[in-house]
Amino acid sequence: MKSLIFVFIPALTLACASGPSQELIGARSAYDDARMSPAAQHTPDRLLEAKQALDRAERAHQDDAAGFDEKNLAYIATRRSELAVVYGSFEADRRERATAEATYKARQDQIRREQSGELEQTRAQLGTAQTTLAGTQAELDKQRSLTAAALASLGEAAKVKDEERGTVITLDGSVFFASGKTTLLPIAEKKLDEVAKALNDTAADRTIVVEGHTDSNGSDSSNQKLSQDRADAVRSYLVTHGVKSEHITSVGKGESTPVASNDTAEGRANNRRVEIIIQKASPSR
Amino acid sequence: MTAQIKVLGAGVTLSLAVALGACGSTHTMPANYAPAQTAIGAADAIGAKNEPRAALHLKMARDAVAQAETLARHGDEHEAELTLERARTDAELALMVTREAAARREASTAKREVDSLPRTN
Repeated sequence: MKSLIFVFIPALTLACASGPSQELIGARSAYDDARMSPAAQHTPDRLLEAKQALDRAERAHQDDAAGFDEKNLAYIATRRSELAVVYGSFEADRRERATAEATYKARQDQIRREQSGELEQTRAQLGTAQTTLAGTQAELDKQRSLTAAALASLGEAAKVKDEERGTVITLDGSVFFASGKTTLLPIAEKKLDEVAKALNDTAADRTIVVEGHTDSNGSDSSNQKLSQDRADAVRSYLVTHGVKSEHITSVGKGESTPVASNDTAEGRANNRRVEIIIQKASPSR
Repeated sequence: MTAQIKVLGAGVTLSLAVALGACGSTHTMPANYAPAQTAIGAADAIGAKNEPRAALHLKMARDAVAQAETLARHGDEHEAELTLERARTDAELALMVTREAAARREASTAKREVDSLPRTN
């Protein structure tokens, strides 16, 4: 038993003396951390330096376990591993920054391109709209001048005027109809031929309303009927002469909408009338 | 010509100082002394003292230099060399920690700038 103690104690002492110092244990751990850090990918040369420093400490441990050299070299190895980690992080930061700057530039370029594209698109749309508007305006002007020219020959029997509701052709009732009658006079038919031609040439697709009006002589109901019948007569004539029936309507207004006083013969003559209203074209899109 | 004279003058002054220093002491500084001091100077110049972790390593480096000077004075050349190597490594770490902190801030700023841009299609 005594001999066993003599063998065991020196062996235990030797084992304790040959164990690594806390510094060396720390250095190994630091190196393991460094190996798992971005340094392995980004700065392998620094990791190699750390490994070499650790190997130096390990050799010192072999030569003189837990001696001055082992402890100091282990300290240095720990710092070298930490340096490798910091170098790795530094490189990762540098790359992140470069990526962010490249992304920033690319995105700025893209924004610039998109803005430029949008601007060009808007310009093109504006140009198209202006061209369309100019075309529409020219067409309107042309139609107006054609209508005016075509109706100029109607002379005193008809007046043409641009109003808010459209181009209004006012036909003199006393020229177109015999007193109290709804049958068109021959002279009226001749004039309406010209009106029909003008409408077909210049306002084929426009909505047309024929309004009949009377003076205040007679009852309201008889005036209403007379005005409606006269408007119908004009509408029918125009339809038989080429104006599309779906584009033209007729309405009797009776004595409700005088344009002059019914107290004088001249005023009453002005109130007896048929108006052909060519409504304005819908704005083009 | 004047510049040459100044450089010559500085060289003579330095040589005299070294010679006097050599005469005034009984030991020479270990080989690792200059690299350690250079590393400390570099870390200091980059502003390591303003970065807490770097400042700690910078202090460790300076302490190690002081310790090495004592060891050298006592003729413990080998111990002084190793201690100076420790000082240099701590100073290098202080330097890199400072640089990494700056790089991290710059990366963060660059990423924030990207995020500040409007999203594209």
